[in-house]
Amino acid sequence: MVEIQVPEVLPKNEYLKLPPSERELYVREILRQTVRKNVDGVTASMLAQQLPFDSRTIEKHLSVLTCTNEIYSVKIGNTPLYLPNSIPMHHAKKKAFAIKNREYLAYILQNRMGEFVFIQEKKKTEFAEEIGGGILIPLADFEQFVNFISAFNKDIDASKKSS
Amino acid sequence: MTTNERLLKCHKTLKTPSLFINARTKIEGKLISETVIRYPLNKANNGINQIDGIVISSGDHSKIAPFLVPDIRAHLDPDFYSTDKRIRLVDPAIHFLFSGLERDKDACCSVIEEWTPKLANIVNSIAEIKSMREKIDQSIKQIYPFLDAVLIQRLLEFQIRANADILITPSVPLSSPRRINDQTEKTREMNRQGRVLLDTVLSRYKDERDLMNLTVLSPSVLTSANLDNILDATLQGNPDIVGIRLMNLDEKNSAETKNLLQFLKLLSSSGKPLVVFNVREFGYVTFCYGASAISMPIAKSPYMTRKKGSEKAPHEGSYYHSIDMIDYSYKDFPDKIRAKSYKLPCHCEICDEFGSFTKIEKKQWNYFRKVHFLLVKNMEMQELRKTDVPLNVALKDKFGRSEKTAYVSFLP
Repeated sequence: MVEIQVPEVLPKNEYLKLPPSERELYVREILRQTVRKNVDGVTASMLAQQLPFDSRTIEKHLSVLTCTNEIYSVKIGNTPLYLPNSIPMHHAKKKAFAIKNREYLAYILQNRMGEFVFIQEKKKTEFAEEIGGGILIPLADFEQFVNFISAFNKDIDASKKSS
Repeated sequence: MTTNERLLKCHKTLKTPSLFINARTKIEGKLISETVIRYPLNKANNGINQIDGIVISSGDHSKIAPFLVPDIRAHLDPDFYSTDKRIRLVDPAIHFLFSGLERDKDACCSVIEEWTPKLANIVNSIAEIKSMREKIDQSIKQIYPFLDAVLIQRLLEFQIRANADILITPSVPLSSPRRINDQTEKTREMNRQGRVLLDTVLSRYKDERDLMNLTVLSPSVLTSANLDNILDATLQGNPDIVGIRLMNLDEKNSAETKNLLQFLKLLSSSGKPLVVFNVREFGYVTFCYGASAISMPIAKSPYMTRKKGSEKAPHEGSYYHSIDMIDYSYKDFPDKIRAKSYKLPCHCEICDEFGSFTKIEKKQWNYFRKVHFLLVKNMEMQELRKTDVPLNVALKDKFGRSEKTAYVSFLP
């Protein structure tokens, strides 16, 4: 069994008592923390061996974390290896912008695929913070992306004026 | 001595040494708020500006919270130290489920019954048990299973809603040398779960609130065989701050008291700020053993317990004598000051206003003595913070001139 670093977790009988929505939050956060702790990557089976969650739960949450770009996977043979995405390269270059209960974070990160600008949406509930989504734009193409957004904004303005 | 400061995650500052006041009733909440307004900074003795924190038990919170709201004066005068600017702690205080006054037990049950409706009946039936041994055994058997992750989460959420600046993980009291292993194991488990919950389902607050592990203990359990176990349980889950709440400290038992002080020293060597709850003047001694802050009730003994049906305490409470450093009952106090024509032996603002004991009406007495207590504690903290000599030397001098000379032997 390959040892991976895992955060402190609740015993299985305790976490199962949590209300369903909080249980989902809990499992996702533990998986997020576990992948972040293991910068060389983890597989779903490693996680299932060392965390008190069943394989289906783990796979479900890994796919959510992949969709929001918090983690990414590379295939080693037939096995996906999950790696953390959200480790900023330059903390000083991290910027945040809040709209009501949502916060948009932009920062530069580097993963095995290269350097990216990561734009992430965080949703704040009364007690928790959840990642709503995230997009990765290659750093080299970021200016093009900004131009595209500016042009889109102009289109919005124009359509507002015409209507 | 120099005052160290630590910026808390809530952006308030924890100074070392600090004094927190434990407000228990609506009247005490009102009294603190009125004292802050009535004796502001421009008065000679600084009002109560040296009191940096207010501690409320979860069961008392609804009565006291209305007096801890933001004050418009704080916007007009940046030096106005309103109650909401001070560090606020809302202690889940579930140790009241196991011991303490009936009122505290009821107040605690009223908070948690929303989440665990069956627990109150169990707590009340265990409270009826006469044998202490049986009571402890039944508490462990019947109450512990209710103290699960969900209850811990709800109590942390309760503190967040109550605007607590430091979140306290609820834990069970360590009170029985016979069952200490069960009690420390439960404490360890709850402390671990508190941290996990804050980092996961309460993640919005993990970077905005410090987490405190607060171990409630009777000094009798601090034997050399248990020390490491209790230390480990207290530090479980990597808290930002540690707290010790003392139950039934008998300062006359010097061996037990010395064990306690050594324990505090060991605990503070972890590098985490240490807050000692439920002490009176003895708390100043703990500053010399690494305590950053102490919390004390207003003008009463922290360890007073009354059994059902026992005689009621007198309505007029005791007066804290600022030189003797002990409390005199309403009955005995006039005898103490008769030789000086009943002149009040203190120069706090409210004692100066009244001047003489004879000018205080009986109905004003409790209000007067509590405000006096706050003002004197403020003066004492000012003295300790501004002393030019090391704190232990200053305290030796202070205790040496008081009726608390026994404390001198505890000072390093």
